[in-house]
Amino acid sequence: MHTIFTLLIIATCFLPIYLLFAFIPYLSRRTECLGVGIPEEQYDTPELSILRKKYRNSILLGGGLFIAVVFLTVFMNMEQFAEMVMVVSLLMMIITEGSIYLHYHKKIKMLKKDNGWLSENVQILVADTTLVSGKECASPLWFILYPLIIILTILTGLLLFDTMPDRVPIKFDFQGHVIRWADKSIGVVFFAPLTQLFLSITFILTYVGIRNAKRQIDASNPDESRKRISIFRKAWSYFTVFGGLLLLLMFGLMQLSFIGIITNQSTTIIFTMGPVILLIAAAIALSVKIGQGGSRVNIKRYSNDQGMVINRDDDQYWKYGVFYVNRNDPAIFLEKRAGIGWTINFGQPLSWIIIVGFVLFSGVFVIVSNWLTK
Amino acid sequence: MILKIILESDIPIYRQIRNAVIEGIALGQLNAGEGLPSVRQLSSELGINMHTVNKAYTLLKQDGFITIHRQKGVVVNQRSEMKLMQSQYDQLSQEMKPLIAEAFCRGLTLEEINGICKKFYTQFKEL
Repeated sequence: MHTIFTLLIIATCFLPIYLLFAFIPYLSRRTECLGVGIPEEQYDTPELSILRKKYRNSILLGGGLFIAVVFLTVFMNMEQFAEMVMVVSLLMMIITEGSIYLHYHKKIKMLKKDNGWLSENVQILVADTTLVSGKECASPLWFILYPLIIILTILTGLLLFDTMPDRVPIKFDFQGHVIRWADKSIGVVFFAPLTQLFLSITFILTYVGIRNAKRQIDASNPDESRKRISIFRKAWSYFTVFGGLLLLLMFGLMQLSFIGIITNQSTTIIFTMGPVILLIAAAIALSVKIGQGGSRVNIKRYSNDQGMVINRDDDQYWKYGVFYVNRNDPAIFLEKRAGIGWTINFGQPLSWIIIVGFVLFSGVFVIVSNWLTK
Repeated sequence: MILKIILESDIPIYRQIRNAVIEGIALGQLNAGEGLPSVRQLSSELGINMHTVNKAYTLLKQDGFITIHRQKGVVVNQRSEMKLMQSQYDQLSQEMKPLIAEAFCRGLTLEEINGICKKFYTQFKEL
């Protein structure tokens, strides 16, 4: 059982980061390679294909080393060290893979400069003047279910308060042992709903970000690009709405375990890990199937009908191809260049307000939830 | 309509936005009453300063092509609201003058110049 639990942790923490890192250049838009803007017709050239392959293999090897270390600790029955080994390995893995990424990022930047990809093309800016209706996104009405679930969770806790055991397990270690108990109190009833509230706000914010994110239309194929972006937004907005719903339901079930209706520990582990693994699997599936900005969606690829045009070269605003800092761009949310999903424009004060606000909000959440489960 | 701006062009960006919107109206890609993105939206999608888009919209508003409402946002005007006034007629013909002069110097005949005019004009009228 404990080994299975450890394996689950590896599956949820290590594998997604490991695989995402390795396949970044295969999931990105065809106008980007490892955080560097490239002309679309260069994407399939042998030069870039080889670099992508080399990058992928280095990541698989470098990160694989740390995963192997974790496996070894688990199988050599040194599980008492497992927690420490995992945290250290995870950190080391991220640092290693980040360095490999940076190395190749710089290589591609050099290649771009040496081959004069910028000077042989005309840079254009493209925007769609049709108003953002957000119709392609999941309806925000789905979020009505969120407060309903929270209220239901509170009511269940209050009505069945009598059946709650004298102490309730709150925190588990990596092997599934209980390491913190809370005494029976009315505060415990509000632990799960508070977590649900925190998750609701996080998921709703994500949804708002997706809906308002800049539509980045490719200069070389505006019409095709528009279709891809729309599918991309649709998929991830639905993922956000239903992913949040799944986690909220999971904490509803946790409430049932608090008040002593579900007592079996393996059941508890299954219903806490199950949704998380499901969400990660769904995220990986979407990333592979749709790609960044819908780049992997299976629709007809038009040939470049616009002549020698490329997107505006904005490498200067992308620090390391990861952080977008552009004071002149009023956009707050925009697509990541390396990886899947969206990021924020660090050149806008509002972005910083959002970050600081969210950190403060998380801090308050942790303090209050600790206080509830004294 | 897909708006395209050439970054390294001699024509300033606000001018390119203005011209593209007018061309969109002429071609029937932008219809009367149709909404346009707000200054913030358009500048964010283009990734440029809001002042630039604001300048283009102000020009378009002055020339009667769009109206900027407080609630409804930016809306394309009816053709009747774009009707030429005497002062605009003078300005328009003044602006055409250097182009016709250049064509003349390069040896284009009046028929050829008329041909170009006709080619575009019928494109616009068809739609």
